[in-house]
Amino acid sequence: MHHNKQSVVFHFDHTGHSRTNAKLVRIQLTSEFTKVDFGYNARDLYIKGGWIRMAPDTFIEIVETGQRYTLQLAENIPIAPVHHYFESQKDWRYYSLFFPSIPQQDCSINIIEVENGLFRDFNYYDVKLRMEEGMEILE
Amino acid sequence: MAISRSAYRRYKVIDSLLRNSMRKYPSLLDIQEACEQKLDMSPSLDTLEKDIRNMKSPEPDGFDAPIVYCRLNKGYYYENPNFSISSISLTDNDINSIKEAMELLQNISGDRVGDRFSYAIDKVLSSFKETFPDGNSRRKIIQTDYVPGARGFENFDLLFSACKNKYPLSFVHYSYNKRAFKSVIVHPVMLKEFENRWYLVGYSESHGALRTFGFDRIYQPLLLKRKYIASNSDEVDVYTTNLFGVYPIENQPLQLITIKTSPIITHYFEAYPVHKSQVIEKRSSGVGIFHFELVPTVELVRLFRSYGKELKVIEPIWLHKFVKEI
Repeated sequence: MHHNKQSVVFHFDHTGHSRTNAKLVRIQLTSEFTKVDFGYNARDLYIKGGWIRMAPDTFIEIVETGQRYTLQLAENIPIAPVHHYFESQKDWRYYSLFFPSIPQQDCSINIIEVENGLFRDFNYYDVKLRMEEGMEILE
Repeated sequence: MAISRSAYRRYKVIDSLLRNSMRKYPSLLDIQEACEQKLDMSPSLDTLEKDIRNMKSPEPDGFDAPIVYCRLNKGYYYENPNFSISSISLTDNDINSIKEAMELLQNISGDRVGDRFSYAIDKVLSSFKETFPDGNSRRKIIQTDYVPGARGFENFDLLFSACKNKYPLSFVHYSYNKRAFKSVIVHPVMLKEFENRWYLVGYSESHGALRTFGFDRIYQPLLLKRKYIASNSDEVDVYTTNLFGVYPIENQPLQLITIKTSPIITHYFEAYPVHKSQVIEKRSSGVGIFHFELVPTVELVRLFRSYGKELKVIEPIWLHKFVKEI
């Protein structure tokens, strides 16, 4: 358990290891949890836009220490084997993943759905968290 | 939690007993007896005990009433002798004005007002029903085209608070046109409703200017502990006074716009002016020439186009072409 004194939010415009991944848009660090927000557009590769879901053992890894934090809760996206099926190629989904609280210190993190995953797996490497760029949230 | 009318009637009885300086320290049995006399009902002692607990509860659930039990006199009293649950004295005129305003608000607001405000209204209404047993403020006299369930409206209270207290916001915005998610920092100025849709107007740090964000495209707003950037008052004026709609057409300043309308459409424009700057020159045939001083908006163009051949933009030329080409 880390004792983060304040809650901070970081803004990102970060695409995962594949262009088909959801876009990572925000990370929130609090004393209770780490929340990662994503936005995903359904793709025209599939007739009705395809599907999304998260692997239950998705984790955050702190690059510098190798410490891992496993997914605790997913909001607005189902956990595999359940899928969310889009109805059209123009649909979208905003969703959030909750992990245990990570230390509030400069670091890089990986957010990994599947280790050595394929293009369709939502993996994000070397996401830099610079504390001076974090914005304090009013509780 | 709303207070029921019957509970409120009991609270009034309890309040009047606790304020009666001629007969201090009423017991639960005294309160029960008073309820029998005044309300033609005999609530149980448990109910009355619960009522006192509820009255002592802090706002907004209760009245924060300073009720204390005196062991010596075996009865209840107000620790602050000036306290009353209805301590504001109102004249008949005041009450009538409030009654009319509340009826209007109930009719037009529906679910638009936040939960806290609805609760406050319910609380006042329960008092008002007590005073005016013939009141029927729930009857809908005015109907608006509001349909509940609009996406993003759940953020109304937070966005209102951010505007009121000048708290910068972090949220994720989804653009329908660009099909893109973007995290933004916005210094909110005001909330605006247009054609039954709600918008946040504020200074966007990434745009470096005032921008309008539809509630439906705002995801998970957070209040930030960050220095508030106040918008230029002239620019804010544009949004408050010189727009029809919400989305200004980029790089178009305040300008004179002239349109020509068929006789039938002229009636509508005369009856429902689009903007306070609207001026009409009416021809003997009934054709109207209307002038406006406005910042052109997407919504203005949409309005003009909705009249088809019955309306023609005369000036400026670029707008004439724009309306025809879209």
